[in-house]
Amino acid sequence: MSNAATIPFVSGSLGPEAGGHFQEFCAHPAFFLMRAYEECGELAEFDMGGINTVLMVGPEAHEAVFRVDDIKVSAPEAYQFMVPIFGKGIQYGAPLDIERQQLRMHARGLASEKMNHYAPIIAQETRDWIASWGDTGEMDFYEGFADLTIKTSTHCLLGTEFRNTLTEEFASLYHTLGAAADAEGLQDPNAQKAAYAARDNARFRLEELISNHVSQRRESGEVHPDLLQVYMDTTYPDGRHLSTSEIAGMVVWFMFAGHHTSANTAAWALVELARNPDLAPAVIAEVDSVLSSSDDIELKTLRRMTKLEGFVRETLRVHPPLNTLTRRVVEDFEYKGHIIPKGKNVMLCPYVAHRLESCFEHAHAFNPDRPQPQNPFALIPFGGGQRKCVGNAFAFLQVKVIFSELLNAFDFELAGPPGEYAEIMPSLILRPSEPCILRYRRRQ
Amino acid sequence: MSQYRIVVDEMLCQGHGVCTEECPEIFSVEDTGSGYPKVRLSTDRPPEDLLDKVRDAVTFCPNLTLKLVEVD
Repeated sequence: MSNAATIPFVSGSLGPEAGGHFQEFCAHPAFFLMRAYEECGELAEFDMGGINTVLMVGPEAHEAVFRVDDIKVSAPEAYQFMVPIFGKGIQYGAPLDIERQQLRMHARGLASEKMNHYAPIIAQETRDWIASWGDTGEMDFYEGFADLTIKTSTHCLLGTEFRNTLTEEFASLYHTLGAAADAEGLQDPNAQKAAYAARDNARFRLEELISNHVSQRRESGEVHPDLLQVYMDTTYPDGRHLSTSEIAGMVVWFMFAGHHTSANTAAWALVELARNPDLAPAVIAEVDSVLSSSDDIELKTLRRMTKLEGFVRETLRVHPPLNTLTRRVVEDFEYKGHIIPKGKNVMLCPYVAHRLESCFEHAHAFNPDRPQPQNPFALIPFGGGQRKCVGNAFAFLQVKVIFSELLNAFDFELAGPPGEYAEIMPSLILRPSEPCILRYRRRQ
Repeated sequence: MSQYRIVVDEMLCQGHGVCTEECPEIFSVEDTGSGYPKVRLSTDRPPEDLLDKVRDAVTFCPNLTLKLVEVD
């Protein structure tokens, strides 16, 4: 196609010598991509510091990217900056067939029947947390949920014995890894800088800790109903088990994908609950009715908590944690008469996608009662297609269980003016600004 | 014979198994040996007495993988 239509180029580039749009992108990826969409529409090209990238917006464009063969439009090629974090031989650091096997193992550990084991663990961790609160007080819930979800994640993932010996060191190492996942890494994840050197040391020590834990469990001969056991027991098609190093990589991968994303979603959900007091009673009534009939919430019941489900889904629509879903074009990619040549990136942005009036009426309004779009490519907080986040059901489970326990025991209100709770992106994850303080009061 | 048919978009399926919990008579999940497990149907024409359970499976699938369509 020699007459391929031109894709509009976003204004404000500093020029190739100065990194194009990279500086503006790094300052706040979601806001930059929103500006790009508003200026250019469905397709918008920009310069990511030497890699020309096409933002593609809308269910049709998302579907085209999610359905195209991974070999032609590649996630691993675009996400090599994650390899130092997860480790070589894991996910994007492994050949495609190995990565698919590893996804299969995650899926096995996150299947619905496993969730029945995780739900009571998350509920108990939440009850233990709120037991220390007193009747009234104020707390930074961004930090609070980050602490809680590291406990719930490690407990479900690595088992009770690891959770009970969870040290500050583990959280600190994990935090160091997270701090190194910044936008600059998109250009060069091995640049000489202190954060990346600290990342590599932390990754090494985490592997030691996890490997020790695996060895202890192997020696004990005990079998546990957690994800670690799945990683230890599942085999590749040739009968080979995951190596201890691979298991450590799987753990880091799972933690990385599910920890801050869930913590942020919980924090945003509580902020929205507190700043929309008219929306809270319906959710609280549903929680009360479920918890009054049983101490432990069954998965089937949890699925049917439609008010809470809608609230969490709307939180993910308005404040999606991950907003730069990237692929590298390996073979020229045609979309609606446009050719995106190999070597460029394409990018999808949930933050932009979720603000389309054509998909979400009154998109600016927080409305937990809005119907779920029937197009599976309209609401994409977890991505989509063959690379959709495998933890999506676990994330909903986790946030719903936490909220059931919280709302059953406490009322929440904002401690600051509503506008104080702003959307910031110091890393690639959208989160509420600090401090994220809410006031709680024990219900009578 | 029911006048409904179950349609699966297999690409969307990650094998969570919600459908299997809601309606094991129709849905199962198969380990495909690579990538995500995938849903399998005992029949795509659910009998009348299972329609409510099938509807729940369709509703609660976290990936909108399933549709129940009316057949002429």
